[in-house]
Amino acid sequence: MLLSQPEVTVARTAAEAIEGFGDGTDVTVVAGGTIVTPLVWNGRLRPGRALLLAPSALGGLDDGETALTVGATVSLARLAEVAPEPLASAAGIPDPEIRGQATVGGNLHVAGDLQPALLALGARVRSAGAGGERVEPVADYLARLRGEPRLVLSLEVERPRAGAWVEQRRRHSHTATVLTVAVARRQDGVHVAVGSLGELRPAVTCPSVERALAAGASPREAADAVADDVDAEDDSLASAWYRKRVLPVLVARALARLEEGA
Amino acid sequence: MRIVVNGREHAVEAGPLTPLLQVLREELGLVGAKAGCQHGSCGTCTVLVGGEPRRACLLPVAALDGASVTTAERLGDPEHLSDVQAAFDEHYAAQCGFCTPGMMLAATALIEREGGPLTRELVVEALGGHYCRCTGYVKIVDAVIAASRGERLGAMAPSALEIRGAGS
Repeated sequence: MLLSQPEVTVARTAAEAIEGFGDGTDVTVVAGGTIVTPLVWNGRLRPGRALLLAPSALGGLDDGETALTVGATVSLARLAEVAPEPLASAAGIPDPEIRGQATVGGNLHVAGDLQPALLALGARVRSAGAGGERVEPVADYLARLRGEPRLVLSLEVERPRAGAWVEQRRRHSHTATVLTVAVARRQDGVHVAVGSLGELRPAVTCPSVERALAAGASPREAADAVADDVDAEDDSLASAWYRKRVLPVLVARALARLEEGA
Repeated sequence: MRIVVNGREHAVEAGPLTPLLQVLREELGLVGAKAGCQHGSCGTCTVLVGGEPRRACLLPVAALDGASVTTAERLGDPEHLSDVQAAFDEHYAAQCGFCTPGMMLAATALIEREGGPLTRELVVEALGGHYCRCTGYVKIVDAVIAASRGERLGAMAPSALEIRGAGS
């Protein structure tokens, strides 16, 4: 039960969102509400100030032939309709209700399933905060995520030559993923990233796998190198041991799918 | 702050980050949306916002200013069941009934969006975020498919409502 309500500012335009966020000090951003609402209601998060982003605030979407630019408040359902693989599959992970409600910006910030896909695609993040607006590779953005409050404005993704996605999760329902693998064939070669390595653990790229592929290794041989790239952990879904055992198999499957689709 | 629920406009007094679920149940007295897991996993609080299924436990009410919300109370009543309600009744798709309001609203939205008849695969995907701990899902999926076909069993079999009535 919420004992006291924070001060809430509603932003309906990008300008209002940037102004409301300021330098991000003590601001909790709420968009689809799928992450923040239960945390606030259960008292696990007590924001002094909340910035509520209306869907229109950062809802722009430019579905170009060679690149896709998607605003932070675009829903995962909409993203799944227009994104290239592996991003489309990553956006389709949640159930239909969550997919329609959750936003691109929120998913990026909570080690969601978009992270590995965006890493594999070499996406760029446009954000606002202290020092003004900035555009940077998603890997750089994620590396700084915990230390510097930023408001995601949009993501820019170049369409790859081919992409593939493999996930491990329980049957029947749209549960959280146990492991995810995103691969993309871009102009400069094949890029690989993995996610769901532990609760709230960010996705990582797999340079060892990429180097092995570039040196001519088969997908199966290259996949074994993933052990050098990841540091999995135990959580309620799987143990670190299980993750490290299964990951090479999933990476090999993703690379095989990439070859099939190329 | 004002929201339209089941066609009727309400001024909401709850704070802006209060989940819609609490507003519906505690302020407006509409208890069709159930308080299950309350973090978006079980689906029983599902309502329609602008005709699309959404989790009421995850929606801050401030995000709904002026929006149109439909709850299970709007679907029908025992004398005038909606097609989906009738199908759930005729196919014995509800046991304890806790998940049923969310299931029926998601099914109603699916049929309105896709038309009919629906494939089993589409129904399973659409209801994939709804937990039922009683039925094993088969009868629920059968009911939604039947509703999408416009089937009414009518006199062919006693409905769950009739059986309950006979036993009381």
